[in-house]
Amino acid sequence: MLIKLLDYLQDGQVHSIEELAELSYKDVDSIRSELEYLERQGYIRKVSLQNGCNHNCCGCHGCDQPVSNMTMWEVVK
Amino acid sequence: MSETTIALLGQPNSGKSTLFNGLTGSRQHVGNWPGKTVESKRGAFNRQGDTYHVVDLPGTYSLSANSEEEIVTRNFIAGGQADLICILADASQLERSLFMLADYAGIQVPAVLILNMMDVCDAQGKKIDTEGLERELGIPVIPMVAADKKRYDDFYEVLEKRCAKASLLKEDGLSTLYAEELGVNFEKVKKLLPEKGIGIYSVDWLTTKLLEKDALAISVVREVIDTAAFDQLQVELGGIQDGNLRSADCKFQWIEKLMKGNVVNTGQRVKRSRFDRAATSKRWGKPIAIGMIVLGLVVSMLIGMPLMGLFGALISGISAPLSSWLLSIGTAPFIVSLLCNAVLTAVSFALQMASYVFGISLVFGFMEDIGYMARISYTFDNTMAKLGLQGKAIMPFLVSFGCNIGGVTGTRVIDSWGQRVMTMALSWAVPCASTWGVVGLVSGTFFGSQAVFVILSLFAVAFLHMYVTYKIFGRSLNKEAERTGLIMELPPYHKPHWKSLFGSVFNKMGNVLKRALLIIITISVVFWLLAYTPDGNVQSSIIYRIGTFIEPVTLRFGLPWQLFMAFAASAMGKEAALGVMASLFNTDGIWSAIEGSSVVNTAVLSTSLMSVVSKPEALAFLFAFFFNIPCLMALSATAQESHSMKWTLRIAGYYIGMALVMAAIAYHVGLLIF
Repeated sequence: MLIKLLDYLQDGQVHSIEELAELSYKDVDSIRSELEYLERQGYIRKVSLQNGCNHNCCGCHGCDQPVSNMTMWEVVK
Repeated sequence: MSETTIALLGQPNSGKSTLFNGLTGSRQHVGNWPGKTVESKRGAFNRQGDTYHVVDLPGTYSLSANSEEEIVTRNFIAGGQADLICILADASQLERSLFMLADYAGIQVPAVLILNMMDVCDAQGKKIDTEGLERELGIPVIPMVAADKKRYDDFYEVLEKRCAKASLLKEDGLSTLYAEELGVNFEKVKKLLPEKGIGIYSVDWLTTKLLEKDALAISVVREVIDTAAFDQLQVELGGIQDGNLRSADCKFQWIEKLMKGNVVNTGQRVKRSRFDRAATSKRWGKPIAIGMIVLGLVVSMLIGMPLMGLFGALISGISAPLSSWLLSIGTAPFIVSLLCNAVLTAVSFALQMASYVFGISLVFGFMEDIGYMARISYTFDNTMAKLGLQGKAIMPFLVSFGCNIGGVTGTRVIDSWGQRVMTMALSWAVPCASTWGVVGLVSGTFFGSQAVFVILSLFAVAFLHMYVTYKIFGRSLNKEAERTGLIMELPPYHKPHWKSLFGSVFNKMGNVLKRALLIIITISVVFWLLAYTPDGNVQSSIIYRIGTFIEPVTLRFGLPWQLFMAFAASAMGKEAALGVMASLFNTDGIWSAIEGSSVVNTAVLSTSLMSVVSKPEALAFLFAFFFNIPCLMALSATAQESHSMKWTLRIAGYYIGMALVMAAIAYHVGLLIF
């Protein structure tokens, strides 16, 4: 299933956890634990707007925006 | 009197350290594992005359040899130093914390499973059949709240009965799955190993780890089997792909089966509503998202307009008595005019602008708070694809709605330089909070109830602008066609948290107001000074001479010279446009105040604007302003993030050019409409 999940993610589209759960006939918690495993193994990685932010703001209000807390993972291999 | 060593094993945040502290109290020693930087915590406690030594192993997710923590943990267990391994799992998210247990199956050291955080689990309405789990696993299963020492009795009982010492975790269920799922590879590798395994490792455990290409397992096997068998093993392993994923699949299946039989979730499960299915569907998602955005803009106007009117009237109400009073106490007309025209008008503009920002922040903050905003990003992913961008580019775009500088710095999430610069170039077209504020104010002044159509047309053209920008720059910047898949966490819909929502809206409004006051007042005073002449004849002022000199050109774009000045100033900061307009369209008030013949009334500005600027010109200005470069800070951020002044200037030149072209088109369309 992990291989199928990775294959599925290779299509370059965005998928929600709920969508992946429906496609694989699993519950959301199962998918989350599988994604955590894939993240630990380096197959996917979390995308965060806070990455590389040194809070040297210079007028940037990026971290004030609610979307800065949005959680996303991207496929890396 | 006996001595027993127990080791606490589990993933980070499973409550190991809490249990360790609860058991050992002050009898503990903290150091490092020999030759490693990994922290080692050891302690002891006495119970019924027996001594128990406790080792808090590093938090790890599995027993693979991927990290220093995992190697330390595995070597400790393999060294036979522990009499009992206590595997901790978070009962409130059992499915996610049983992977360690699955990875442990096959290690022949007695173990117990401790289900920590049972209080949270109970509160979630989950029922765990611990006896059923014990039967399937073959080891004691102890429900516990590690933070509550009063609930350690079950654990102490297991220790005292010593039954745990003889309990090995059953691996037969997993072995069956390995044999089924890993098939021939599993059998071939297994045949090359000693039938009874090596040391504490069972043959199935070793086989699986070898298929995962685990370096420690390979070295353990190498020391035991003969060279020919090892060479054969290397050949077998060489032909195996994704062994780690295939074995992990088996572990997840085993966990799922274990959960199905022994965990009942009586709590309310969140099901996707029909609306959510539609909102995230390929067919309806986008129309719904566009509908919601349009509705959001309309509601923002409905909220912002009365506030704008209120602030405008309030400042006008203050302005007249203030200027009369200042004149009556003998204040120089020059100062009165400066204060009441330049400064008070600027304050009025800033407040009105902040009113619209309040409306738009409240509406879109509400959408974010109830969980809908993430669905918009999800729905528009394939639009990113059409722009040749990665799906995660949506993040800086959404941040740009608040502030373009944040959007530009947010492009750090994009890996390739070309795509990053491309995303920066496109994020400039996303209107920031200040842009919305000025657009709301100017369009409301000129177009009244029709302002919403003007705003929608700007929004629609922004999409077109982004597409054209991609077509122009895409070929040079976006050579990488590869897009990676993305997974998004869509938050569940929930009621808004009004207190935090209003807190955030007022905070944003306050930030915009502070910045607007500073910029508008400064620009307003500068342009007021440029428009000032001692004889009161504005036509001999510096700004008038420059303006009328350039006007033959600016009129080609539908912009009278004053509006062109406002457009040019908006490149420094969007609010600056209002500062220019406050000075240049308020001249009647200024001169009459200077002459002392009338009191100043900031309300005159609206009338002045309406009488001097036609609707097509106002429309041209809105397009020029909207698509101008965001601000000097965003420009500087782009140069810094792209490490290319050449590309920054190229994009800036393109934006200024496009803004003027669009202003010319808007002007001619305006002539046809109005």
